[in-house]
Amino acid sequence: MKRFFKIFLSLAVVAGVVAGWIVWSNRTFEETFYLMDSGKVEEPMRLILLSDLHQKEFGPGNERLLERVQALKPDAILIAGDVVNKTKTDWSYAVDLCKGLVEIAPVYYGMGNHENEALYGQDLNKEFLEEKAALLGDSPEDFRPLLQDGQSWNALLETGAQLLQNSSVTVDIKGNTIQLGGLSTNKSSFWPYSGQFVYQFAGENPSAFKILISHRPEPVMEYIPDYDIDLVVSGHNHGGIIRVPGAGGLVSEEEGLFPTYDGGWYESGGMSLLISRGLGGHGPVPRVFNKPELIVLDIE
Amino acid sequence: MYYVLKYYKYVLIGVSVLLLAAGSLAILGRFQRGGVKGLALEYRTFRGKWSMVPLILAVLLLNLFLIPAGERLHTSAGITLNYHLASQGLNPNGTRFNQTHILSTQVLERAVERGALEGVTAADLKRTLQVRPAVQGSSASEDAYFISSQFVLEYNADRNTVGQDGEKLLTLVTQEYQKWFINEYSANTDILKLDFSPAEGQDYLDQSSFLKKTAESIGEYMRNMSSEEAAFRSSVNGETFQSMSAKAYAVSNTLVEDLEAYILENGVSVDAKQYIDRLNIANVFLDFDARKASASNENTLEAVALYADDMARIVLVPTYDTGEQFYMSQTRIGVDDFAASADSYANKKTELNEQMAKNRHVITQFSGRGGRGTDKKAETLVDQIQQELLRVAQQAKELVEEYNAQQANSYMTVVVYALEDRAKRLVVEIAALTALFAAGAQVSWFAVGGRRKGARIA
Repeated sequence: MKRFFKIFLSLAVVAGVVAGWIVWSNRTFEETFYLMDSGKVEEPMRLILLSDLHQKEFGPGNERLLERVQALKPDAILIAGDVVNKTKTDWSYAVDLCKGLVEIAPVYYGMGNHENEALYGQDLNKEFLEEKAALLGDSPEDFRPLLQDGQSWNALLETGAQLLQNSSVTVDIKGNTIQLGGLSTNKSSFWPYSGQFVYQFAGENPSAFKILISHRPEPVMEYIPDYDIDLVVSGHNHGGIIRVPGAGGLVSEEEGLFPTYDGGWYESGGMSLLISRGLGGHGPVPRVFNKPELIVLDIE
Repeated sequence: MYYVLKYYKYVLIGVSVLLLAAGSLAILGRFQRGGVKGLALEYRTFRGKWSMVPLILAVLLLNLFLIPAGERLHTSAGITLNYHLASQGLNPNGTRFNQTHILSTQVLERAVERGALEGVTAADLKRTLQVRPAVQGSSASEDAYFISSQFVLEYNADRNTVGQDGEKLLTLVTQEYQKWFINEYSANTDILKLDFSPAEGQDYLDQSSFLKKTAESIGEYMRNMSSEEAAFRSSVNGETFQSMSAKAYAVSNTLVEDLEAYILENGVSVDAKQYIDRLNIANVFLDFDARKASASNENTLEAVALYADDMARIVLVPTYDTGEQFYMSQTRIGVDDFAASADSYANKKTELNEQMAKNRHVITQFSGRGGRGTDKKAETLVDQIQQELLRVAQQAKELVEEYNAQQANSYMTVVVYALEDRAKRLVVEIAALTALFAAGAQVSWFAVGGRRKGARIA
């Protein structure tokens, strides 16, 4: 009995150490650098992509994260959604983060499914939107009439971050004309609740460099793989949560086991898709062999 | 920490082997006495056979952390040159390829700056990075001689860089090198950024010659690009470098000629009197030069007549042609040079006379006009030409950029080998080293416990 207790204790120590290591490895983040060439960009510019923080803090008030973002000197910061959690939503977390980021560079914030659930009471899936069709009226792609938490939306707007939800802005970044759009519906509700916006976004202003922030990569690859959009940035799949050496991400909510779009750089026709492995997580399964990721993209 | 990570594996192997050897020697006597059967019986009754489990698990834990961390001290990247001249050891423009450019200070400093790396300098990177051909040939014989177009960039951390992420460092360095290489060897489109401001406010004839030169520079640039890759065709508008060159020259030969004809025909000038004065002065100097060229031409012709019979006309030099065939090459010397000089002076004289004649024609056309100010039609024509040149330059730029994207951007392929790629080998290594240690620990413990029979054996 004593012998088995010893072995059990040893295994418990091993498990404890491994758990400690997992926790520690999720408290730091790594930076991944990408380089993109485009004829539409005259002056080199740097974008930083943050995604899937899920209210995770890197230092008090995200001090370490903000310090690194500042050190990397971005010309614009893109947020690909899920900054907050759908449960125990803390909007002050997102507001404080945006305030800190806006001081470094202009922030363009695309909503994720967690923001949608917190703002509208549900994710923007087809059943929900069809149910609320009467409220949407003639503008099925404008979800503002469905807002349950307009105060938080306004608080985010007041930080100076540009919120993009089925909307786009054309901005000048270092003399380059950049058109940024945000898509936050899922595959089921893409038509008719986002498709028209994306179609117009792709069709107008052909000389501008176009970036679409789509929290989920799947609707993009399913419906618009050959649209005239230069770059799509996404997150959502958390790198497959557990990285299996040699096989990539293990699981994602949308794709199941061994997802195709678990993170990294993908090409589709003339469009590039950059998927972040995210910076945080939610749910009981921790990220394993999958360090939180901050993406630095230089476009020249 | 650096030394722990660097030497941990070797210390573990040493300790394991030592334990295994010492333990084996210690139980050898018992093996000789009781044979395998006796030893197996002894082991079955050995009470301490599970005692080593906590220690083995502890070593397994250490292995799980320290072996991958030690592996992170060494990272490598593969750089493959894809253009056809690479196999001859040359850059895309035919100059000698130099692998040390990968580790040039310029590249490394940019990598440090771009990554906002803290506590790492370009000098640190230079110390920890090595580049070598992936396949090394030998110059001992022609058969063994091989020029590699693949290179391996290795990062071996030292005490100063032990906390850095090797994959990130190699990504930054290789990306910066790629940028540098493409910038150095791809076509530059700066010449296609047109600026008409130097000609603003000048007289129409000067504006006309400025526009002509601009059109010809685009045409010449496209012609040079065509000689590099004549077959390249734009997937967007179907243009080739040759067709773009023709378009640019067409602007010069039609639109600019039309403008010039209009100016001369109508004596259009912002200030005709001043322009005539300028041309008169220019003709005085041109006349001096023409006379000088004429005198030089006569002198050299005289020299040819005087020395032709006394100077060797040809010298034959033994040599090989490109097909490695022997032949006697005829070398130009003496009077040939005089004759060539005479020809050159004659051409110069003709050219100067033509210029003077042209100036005189302009003077005749402008005489008596004395117009001062702008001419609407001339302004419109200038504007049309500028618009057309901007259009042609834009098309040419798109063509070059497409060429760069397809050709220059594929000059090289870089792969940074991630730790994840080495995962299978690491798992095997961790398992093997843990098993080796477990064997050593168990054998030595059995040997020690076996001797204390009273306490350990039931």
